[in-house]
Amino acid sequence: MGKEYLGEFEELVLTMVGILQDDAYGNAIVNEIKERVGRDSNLSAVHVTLYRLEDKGLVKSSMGGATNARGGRRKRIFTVTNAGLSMLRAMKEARMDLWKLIPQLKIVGI
Amino acid sequence: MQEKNIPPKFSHRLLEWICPSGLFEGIEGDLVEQFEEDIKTCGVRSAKRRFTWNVMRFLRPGIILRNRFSLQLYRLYMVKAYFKISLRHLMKDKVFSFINVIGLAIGMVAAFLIIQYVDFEMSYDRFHKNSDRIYRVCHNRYQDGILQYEKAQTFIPTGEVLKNEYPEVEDYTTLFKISDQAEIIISHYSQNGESIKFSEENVYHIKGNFFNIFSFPVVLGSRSITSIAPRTVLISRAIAEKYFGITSPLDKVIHHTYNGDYKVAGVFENIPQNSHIKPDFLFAWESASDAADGGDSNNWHWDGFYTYIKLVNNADVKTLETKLPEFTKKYLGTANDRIGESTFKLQPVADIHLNSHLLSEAGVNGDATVVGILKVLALFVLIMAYINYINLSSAKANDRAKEIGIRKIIGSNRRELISQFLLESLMINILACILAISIVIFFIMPYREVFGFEGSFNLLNEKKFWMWLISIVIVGSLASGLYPAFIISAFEPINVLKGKITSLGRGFSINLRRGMVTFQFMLSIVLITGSAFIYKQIRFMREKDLGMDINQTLVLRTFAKFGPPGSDSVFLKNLAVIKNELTTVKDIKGVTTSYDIPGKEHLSLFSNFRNVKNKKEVISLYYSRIDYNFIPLFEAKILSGRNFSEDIESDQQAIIVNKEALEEFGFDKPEDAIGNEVVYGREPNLRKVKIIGVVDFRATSFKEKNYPVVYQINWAPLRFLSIKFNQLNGNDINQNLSLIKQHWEKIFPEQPFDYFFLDDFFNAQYKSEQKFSTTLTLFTGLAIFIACLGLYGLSSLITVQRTKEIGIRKVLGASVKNIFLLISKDFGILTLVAGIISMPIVWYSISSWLESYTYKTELSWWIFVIPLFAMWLIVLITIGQQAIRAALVNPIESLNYE
Repeated sequence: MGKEYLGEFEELVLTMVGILQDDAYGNAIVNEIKERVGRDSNLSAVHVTLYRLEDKGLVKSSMGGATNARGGRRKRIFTVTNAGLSMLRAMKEARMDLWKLIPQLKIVGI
Repeated sequence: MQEKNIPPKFSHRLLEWICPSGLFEGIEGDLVEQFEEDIKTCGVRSAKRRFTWNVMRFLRPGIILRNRFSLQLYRLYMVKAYFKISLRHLMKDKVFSFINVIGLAIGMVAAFLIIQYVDFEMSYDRFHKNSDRIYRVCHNRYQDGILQYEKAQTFIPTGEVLKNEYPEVEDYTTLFKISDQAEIIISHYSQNGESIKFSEENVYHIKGNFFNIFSFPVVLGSRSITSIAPRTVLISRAIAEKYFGITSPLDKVIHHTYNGDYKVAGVFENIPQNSHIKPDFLFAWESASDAADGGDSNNWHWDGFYTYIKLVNNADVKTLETKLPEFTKKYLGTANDRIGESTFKLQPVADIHLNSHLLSEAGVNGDATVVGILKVLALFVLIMAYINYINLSSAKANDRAKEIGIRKIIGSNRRELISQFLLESLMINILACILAISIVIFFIMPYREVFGFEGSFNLLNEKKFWMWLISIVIVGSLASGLYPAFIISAFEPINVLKGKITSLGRGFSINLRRGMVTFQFMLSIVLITGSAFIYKQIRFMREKDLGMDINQTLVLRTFAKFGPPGSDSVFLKNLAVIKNELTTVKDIKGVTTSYDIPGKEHLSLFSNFRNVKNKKEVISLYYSRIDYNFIPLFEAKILSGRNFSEDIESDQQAIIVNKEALEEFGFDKPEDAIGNEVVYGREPNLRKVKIIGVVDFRATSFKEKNYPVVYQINWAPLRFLSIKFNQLNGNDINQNLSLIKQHWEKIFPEQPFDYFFLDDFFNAQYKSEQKFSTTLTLFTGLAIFIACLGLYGLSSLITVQRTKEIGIRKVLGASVKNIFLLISKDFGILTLVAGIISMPIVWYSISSWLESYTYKTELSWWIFVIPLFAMWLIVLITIGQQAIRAALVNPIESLNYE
């Protein structure tokens, strides 16, 4: 893994993009975060994070088709790139490795 | 309806402006989607608010600076460079930057303070849920087709009948402010048997679903209360603390002078300052009508009740109003025949504070004109501050010519140069803004007290204020930065580098500068004249002869119960005793009792006298009662006839009228009225009464026409005991006060000792004028300060630029006086021009302000000339030092310059 690091919120957003697949656009991500993590996030914050991820090459974006909803505006759909996926995976593994190092007090206690 | 459900246009455009075009559609779509979601969950209004707020949150570097991706690095780099250069320029000429920043900051402070005041005045009664659906029913009274009065109150059944009759009316409430009709004492026996009692001024009886109409939160007791159950009362938090301290007031009993004991059923939050009604007590309804009038549900005679209705959603007020004449006919048909006709009007509750000036308002209302004037003032003071910036930067353009020339040669294009100057102006604006906010924080406290704001109202907590702030900064820096940016960036590099910049600072640029300075001077002169004039008008009203002597007078409220004459004989006997006792005190000149007192709003207006020439014409006059001592003790002016006399039995039935009443009666001369009998009463029981005197003293301030009053010796209760002293000084007053208090408590142990000084009380009527005058003077000061700052900066720039010219002139023999004149002549002429332009503006605005006053001080010539001279003097002082310094410089130095 290289010099790039992910902030906590960046990671969250990146994961959500991965979860939502073809339906990953700003609002959907805000709602998904609310639903799954129970955390209120702001649309502008999510957008800025998405663009930052795009700059880092972890996601790419394209405009979706127009619908009747949202005043006919098209959605900007984000998808995780290979680099993004490997970043997520690497982070997960690193975390799991660290997790294993914590003495499992609870289990011992039972 | 469909039209309304689109996001606010302004925010939309802002988004379009800040967003890089590549991102715009995606972001916009997301926002619109959220907006549509919000409409469903929390309604159109708050969805719009949220939309704007969300757009605001996109104002972050990650979005705004994310322009075209390929240019990003280069752009950021240039912005950094611009920033550095701007900063260096600011630091290089500290005086210039200081003048700019301070001037702008002062202008912004003035604007903020005015916005705070205006915002507060306009916020009245808008905090009620659905305040746009709440209306007050008002009522105009006609007699033979002639308008008698326009009243804020109507009849008891009005609200209830409106609700039952018309489907548009969802609910109603009727308020009886009993404390306006009589003195109300509320008492409570605490647990240790001690009696706590106060005289109260905001006591209401409530009919209908009060809490369904108004959104005053209940903090103790049932929160879902709508109407007030019989024999219970709700009190405000402040009152609860006053009577019950820290113990819970719920279910305690308080005693009401007229209607006995009530159980406290709840406590409501203290009424916010920006509510036009400010009740402390909400008592349950008690029948207020005589049986002869058919009880409360049929009493279409007594119009002393505030009626508020709430319309159903989407109801059309206009349609409802067109139905009101029919309503009048149906219910007031019979009543109309007897005493005149009534028509009804609906007033939106949020309009009451600024736009309603009817008879019997629930409190002192504000003035839409004053608010309008202040709004314009805020704008102008800001413009003045920005003019300084424009003037100074365009005058200083020469200094930057070389820089521009070199940058153009290196390859800057004009757009980049302009954005550099705009950034500079933005920086100065932001600095000024920070300074202004700090000043507001330190100044807001004293200012708030000047206007009697409530503690909780703070501009800095309002979202709207920050919107204002951002728009002022953005619009201001654009407006003030564009002109200098354009002229500076227009330099031709070759000419500039050769040193040929003579074309600059001539022609259009100079004329524009002159025009703007003239505008500043003109505004200052208008403001000086305006404040001087308002001060003059206030002095004129305060010093005008009242026809009586109200100085050295102490007034006690007597709390007589309101009832038919003579119903309270014990009270009258006690009153006579205390009058006798007090007359023996050394310092007291005399004592008198009366129903009204000058400066108190007279409320007993009755239309039952007849004009002497046209016996059919009914006239409306105020009734008031005085005793035998009143006229001689106050040295009230008698135009003709005599005072009431104790020795003449028939005086009990006679009346004394004032000059205004005399006109209403239709007498030509005071002498004609004496001994004449006038007719009063309802047909067919007409009666006659004799006029024995005509007096001429003020019952009210000189702001309006004096009340036409009929004075009687035997009619209403005596509510005020006036004690007139011989000459007194500070110490004696306290001694005498405690002496009088002793007497009072001995004779009236159950009544509070409540007093005021008559001259203060009377002059309190000019309070709103005083406040306006203070405000205007304050802002005049600020405006002059800003103008002087600009002038100082401009004159110092000009003297520096003309250094060589001055040196040569001195070598050729010009005297110090010549040089001084050379520099100050220009500004002197501009002041004169400004003075001349300001005259019609001043004349127009003062005459329209004066229109609402019955008694006007005259517009004398010096009110125009003195401010002009004052301005001249201020200009001379500001530029004088510069001019003298320039004139005194040794020509060798100035010719060596540069």
